[in-house]
Amino acid sequence: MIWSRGVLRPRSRLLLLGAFGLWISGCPVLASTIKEQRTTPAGQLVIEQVDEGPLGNEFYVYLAGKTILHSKLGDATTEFSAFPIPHLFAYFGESMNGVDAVAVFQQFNWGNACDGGPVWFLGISRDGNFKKSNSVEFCGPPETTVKHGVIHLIRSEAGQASPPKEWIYSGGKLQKVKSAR
Amino acid sequence: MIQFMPRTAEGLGTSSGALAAMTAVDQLDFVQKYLSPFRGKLHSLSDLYMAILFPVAVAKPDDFVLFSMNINPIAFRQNEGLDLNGDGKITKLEAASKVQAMLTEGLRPGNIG
Repeated sequence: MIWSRGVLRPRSRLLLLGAFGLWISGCPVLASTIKEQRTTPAGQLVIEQVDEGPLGNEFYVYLAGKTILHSKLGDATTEFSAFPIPHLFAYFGESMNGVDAVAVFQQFNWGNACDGGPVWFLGISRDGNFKKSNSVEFCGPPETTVKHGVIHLIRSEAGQASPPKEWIYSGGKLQKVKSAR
Repeated sequence: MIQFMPRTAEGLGTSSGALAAMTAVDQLDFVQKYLSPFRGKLHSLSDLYMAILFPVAVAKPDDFVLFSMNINPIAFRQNEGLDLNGDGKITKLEAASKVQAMLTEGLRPGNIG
């Protein structure tokens, strides 16, 4: 069994119990790997891979032990089933927009059609409350900047003459702005 | 060899730059590692190609839409060359047809060996 970085989330504890049950019955055990983690005002933000394999296709995102996201390749009952791999793309640790921190995620898959997929934001409050934003489609890397205390998300399309598109993070949502840079 | 994306290469324990500097034979170790989770699931050339291009389409029917101008326009435009009939949708069949044509050509007498 593989445990990395030594932190057991609530689901990991269940997996550990389940794995022990499987071990004593002689079956293979599940591996769970923490891929990324970050300390936030509300506690640890953790991305965990729960399937086996060199790359992984099923993931959870937890904040202080609470499930924020479950994604599994091809499972339409989960979010981002075509882009199941969450990556913490950026993190803003200062208070803005009514929250104490903002985490920016980009979803990936392992295929080569797109170098990175949808982007979504997570607003985090010190008291443990959180709010997930809507997602914006990407097929490539995003750009984030802060202007006058507001986070801007910018999408430039490779090979396209059209100007970049821009969203602002406000009220827990990503809102498209009419004109970009 | 199969144009790994940078994060994919990293997940396999290497990098795009390192792969580019390898011989095709050396890259095969990473191709094998990449494809290992699909063991037993790739029953056609199109499924093999989907594992490389857009894994959610593995084992899906040929008319499965990978990208659509209406639903995911950014991904569609990045892969627009695969929309063979120009209907604004890229199906699994369309995406795999170029690979199939290359295989057919490669299997012609005189091209084997």
